[in-house]
Amino acid sequence: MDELLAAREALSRFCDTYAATVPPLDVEELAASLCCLRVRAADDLAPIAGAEPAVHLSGVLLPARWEIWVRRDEPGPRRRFTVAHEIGHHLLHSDGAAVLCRPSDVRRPRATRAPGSGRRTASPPSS
Amino acid sequence: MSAERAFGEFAAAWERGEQPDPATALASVDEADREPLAAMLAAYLAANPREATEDEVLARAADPRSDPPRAWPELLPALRARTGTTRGALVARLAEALGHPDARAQVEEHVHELETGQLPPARVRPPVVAALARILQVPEALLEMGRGIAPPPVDASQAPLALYRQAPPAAPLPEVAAEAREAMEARNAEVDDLFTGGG
Repeated sequence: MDELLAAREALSRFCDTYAATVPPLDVEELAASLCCLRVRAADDLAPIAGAEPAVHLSGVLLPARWEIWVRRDEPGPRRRFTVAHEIGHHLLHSDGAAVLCRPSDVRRPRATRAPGSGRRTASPPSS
Repeated sequence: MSAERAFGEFAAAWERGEQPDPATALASVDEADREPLAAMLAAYLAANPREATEDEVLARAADPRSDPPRAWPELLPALRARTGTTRGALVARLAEALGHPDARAQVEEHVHELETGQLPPARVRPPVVAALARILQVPEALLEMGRGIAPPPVDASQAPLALYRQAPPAAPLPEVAAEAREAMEARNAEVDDLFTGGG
């Protein structure tokens, strides 16, 4: 499904079901009410995702726990965008694998899956 | 109660436009009278059918009691959607109803676990069931029926983990130590008991 179409559909469903008026949109409430996803914050997301400490991550989607994690030290608007970005992963292609997003992934308004950059999913570790 | 009297009460209620329950009428008479009374009721209802209006049919179809029992991870989000209750609103009202308005974060954690199958509803104590029923505008019996349906087990260790190219293979999902510590220090034991002390 097209990303923008999916986003509009989710927004419409949220507004219709819960009589929400936007703007502003409470993305954390949308995540919880529509997708049963809980948003949590931590100073460092690498340990949560099992990544190396040096890896800077802005957002993590953990489908097994129905959780989105964002960095506590990032500004509020950026965290909101990260939450929306992870909701997009959940709606569009959640296959049960955790999704790790670097700052550069979340910065792009329309994420792509260019090789070597962007979203990392359940790729086997290269050895 | 005699069969004649039970039949009379049933017929009077039917004629007032109520929906008397034949099973209740049958249960109110002696064993020996049940078969004759059942025949009387069947004959009466055949002779006095009531045509339900479209509105009545729609109302019955929309009544959650008409639904087959569903497990809580399916039922709770569906009831929230039906009543237009966001999870945030549910959590706030539930924390208030349980007498712990300050423990909202803790209640949210438990509601999240209930809605995602990570906490068996059998462990929830009756006051939580009663409060949920009031907030979601359903009879407690509906939640009780769903409570007996076990959600599929969630085993995070078997779910696909985050495998990052630079990470150690099959790294477990660790808790964030600082956050977990803070959460443990601030926990309200009574709230935890309400959600996990039953069953």
